[in-house]
Amino acid sequence: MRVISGAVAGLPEGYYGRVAHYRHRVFVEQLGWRLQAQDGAEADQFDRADTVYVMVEDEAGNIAGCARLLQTTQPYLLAELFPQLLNGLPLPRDPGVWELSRFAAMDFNARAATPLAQFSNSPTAQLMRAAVACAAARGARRLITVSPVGMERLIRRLGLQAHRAAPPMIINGQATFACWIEVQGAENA
Amino acid sequence: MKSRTIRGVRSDRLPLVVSKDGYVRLTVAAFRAIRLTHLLSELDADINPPPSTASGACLASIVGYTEWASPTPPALSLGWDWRIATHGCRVRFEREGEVRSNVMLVSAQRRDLGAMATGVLLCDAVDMLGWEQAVDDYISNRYACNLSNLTVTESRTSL
Repeated sequence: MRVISGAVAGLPEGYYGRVAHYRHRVFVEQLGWRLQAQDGAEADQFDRADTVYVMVEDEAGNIAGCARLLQTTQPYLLAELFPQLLNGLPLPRDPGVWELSRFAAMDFNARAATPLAQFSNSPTAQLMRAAVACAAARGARRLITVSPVGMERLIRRLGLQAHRAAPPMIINGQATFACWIEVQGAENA
Repeated sequence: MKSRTIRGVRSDRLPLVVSKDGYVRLTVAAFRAIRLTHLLSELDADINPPPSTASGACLASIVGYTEWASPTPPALSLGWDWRIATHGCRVRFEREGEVRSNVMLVSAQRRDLGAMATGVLLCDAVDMLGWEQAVDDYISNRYACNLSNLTVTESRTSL
């Protein structure tokens, strides 16, 4: 697995287009999320010049997972669309708090996982570690996510310190919640 | 645990607030005084395949998660995994693993007990809660019409 990260301007030429297509394939085609999409590419108002992307690639160079990091000092998904998930807490506007969104690890080219497959080496685990490391390198102390509730189990299974902000709410038919992830001290997880 | 007076208010009666780190802090006594209600429960894919029996048959397991919350503002949120365990002819719901929450329990002096100690105490509280019937009823109602062709999709790793 190879990790690629950076803002659009720092990615290899044409790479962002591949990310947008991968996101469309995962979120729109596979998961059925109702998202902005055009010509098989998924992108929204939070895909900006300052947005940081983290991807993992398989050995053949195919994208096997992607994630998006947004500074909370700029408009971000939770603040703009789901502030009710914070249990009344004022919205974070802090250079030490980043938002993790559009996290997905689906390896379309992998053979079916076997019982011997190790979760700790899976694309999901590698992507989460890479996203945390990438955020830490940019000064993040904590991450906040909006996600399906199953994500909390995944995060904690990786040994990361995380806790929910409030009870989940049903959004677009899915139990969704906000979750805090501690970045400081997570390097050894 | 004894309560203590802070600025004229017993520590187990201080108003609930969300801390900047997202936790709702309260004493064990204050936590025990709050009633939790069932929000939702779901079935999960069988993440850990059960062992096969000597004859080659496989013991099916039913697993899932459940979410509970308090009616307080701000709300306390607790969630945990469960499985339907068989003990001979008896079948019952059992909590599986840790309790996930937005709760940080504190001492009478308002000092954090820490994530680990809080987790242990929340597990004890959940085991005393009597949650099994509510989950059973919810799951039965939710999936009853699909039992003849029940399929459970694996947890999505996306957000």
